[in-house]
Amino acid sequence: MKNVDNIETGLELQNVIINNNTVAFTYFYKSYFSKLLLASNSYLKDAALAEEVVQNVFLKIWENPYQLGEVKLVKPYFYRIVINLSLNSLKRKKSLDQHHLKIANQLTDDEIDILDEENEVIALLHSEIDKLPAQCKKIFKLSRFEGQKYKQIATQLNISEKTVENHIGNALKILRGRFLNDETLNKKGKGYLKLISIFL
Amino acid sequence: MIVNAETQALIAKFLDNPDDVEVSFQLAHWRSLSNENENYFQQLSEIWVMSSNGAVLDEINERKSVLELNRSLPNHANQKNIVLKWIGSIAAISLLSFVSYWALSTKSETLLTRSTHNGQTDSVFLADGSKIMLAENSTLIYPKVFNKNTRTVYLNKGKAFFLIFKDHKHPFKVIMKESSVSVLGTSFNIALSNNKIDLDVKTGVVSFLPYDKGKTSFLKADEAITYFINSNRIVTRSSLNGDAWLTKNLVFVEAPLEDVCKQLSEYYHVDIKLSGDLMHDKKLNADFKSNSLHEVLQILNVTYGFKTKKIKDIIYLKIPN
Repeated sequence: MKNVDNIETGLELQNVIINNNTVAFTYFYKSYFSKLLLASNSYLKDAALAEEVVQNVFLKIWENPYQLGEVKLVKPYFYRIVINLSLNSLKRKKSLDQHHLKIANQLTDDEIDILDEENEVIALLHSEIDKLPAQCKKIFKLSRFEGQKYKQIATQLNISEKTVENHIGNALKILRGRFLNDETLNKKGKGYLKLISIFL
Repeated sequence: MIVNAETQALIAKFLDNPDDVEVSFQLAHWRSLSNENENYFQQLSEIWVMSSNGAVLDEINERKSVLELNRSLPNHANQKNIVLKWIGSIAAISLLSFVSYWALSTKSETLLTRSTHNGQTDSVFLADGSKIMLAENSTLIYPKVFNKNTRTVYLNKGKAFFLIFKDHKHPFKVIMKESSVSVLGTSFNIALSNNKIDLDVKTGVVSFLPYDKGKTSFLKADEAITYFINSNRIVTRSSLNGDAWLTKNLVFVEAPLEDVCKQLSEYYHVDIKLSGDLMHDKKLNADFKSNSLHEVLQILNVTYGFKTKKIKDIIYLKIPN
């Protein structure tokens, strides 16, 4: 994985763009994609629309990198634009109170940092769920992503409720183990164990 | 710490239904036995809650989005700086190979099938970023990931438009019955029927191999051939409207009226024939964009004087004098 963690300031990102470094910019996009998608979707509740918002923000910035020079930190900058645009697009559909926009603009850098870490954990958790054994993954997703009760899952898959409980219990155990023990999840020196315990 | 499967299932059961009194009691007892137990429970319930927040990520294909963005970035650098561009394309290729390596290392090759019914079109995104648009009544078989030197897909029936991502190291191949089409990165349309294969090239260069050990034909942009399977005959023709089913545009440039009828028939699924003076040498120039057959016939009438007559299911176009 190409390291784009060092792109922190607006000037650094601007350099990437005016040097036409599409690869670094693409990796930069990749590193933020899931997290910003989650942020946008928390307002829009529409995955495809959220993806469009996030993609457009990156394209717009690529096309016009000159305002980036004055941006101190890119992370809060991206979060604010994405949240604002999501709210705008929502406003077009519903009459949304102006105070929602204010709330988004009042998010401090620290609050955005917390939001970012939370989204990062959600995204990592999601990619770990994808690695679960097939049947286990299927059952876990039906429960967690589609909000089905064990009873419904059991009927749908023609298995016993006990089997569903065992699969979910096993999935939780595997996921916990990945978070606590897997070193790749602790890259960037971040302890996700710590993060989980913060949320306790 | 080691927690037995029974307790894990108990925790799972509690999370699904916290109102179950008996389960709550059992679990409360286990949690009270040690701090470790309590922590373990808290961590599992945290994972339980957070995992459902990722549901939306399941609806979105991150890799597709990344490739899409990568291809939408317009060029910024000084156009004269060839070295930079050269480095850029190397880097793009290495990004692609990184992505395919990643796909390779995490998944094994499985073949998937996509079929369309009457009146239905569909598109397939391949693992390498290529896109294939399927016309109605078509079947395409393609691997979930490409892990061979050649990227191979199979068009079993019907029509498809191919937009192939350039990768010089991995030629792209479409196999239809005995025949195959090979490209590096380009766009083209294939229409397969029982007795013939129509190949229309939109951009780039495409090679067509009618059968094993047969003679390869090379086609450039805007060139087209029809291969008659039974008689092993290849006929070169001008590429017209091969992808009309997709673009909804019918373009005729100096087109013989027989060709126009044939293409209108194919596009609108009706039988259109010429009548009147068949010894004419008229040519048609026209551009139809998302028009209905009725509109097209009207335009032909107003601008060229074609009269139409419908007898049973056949529409006759009377050639004006």
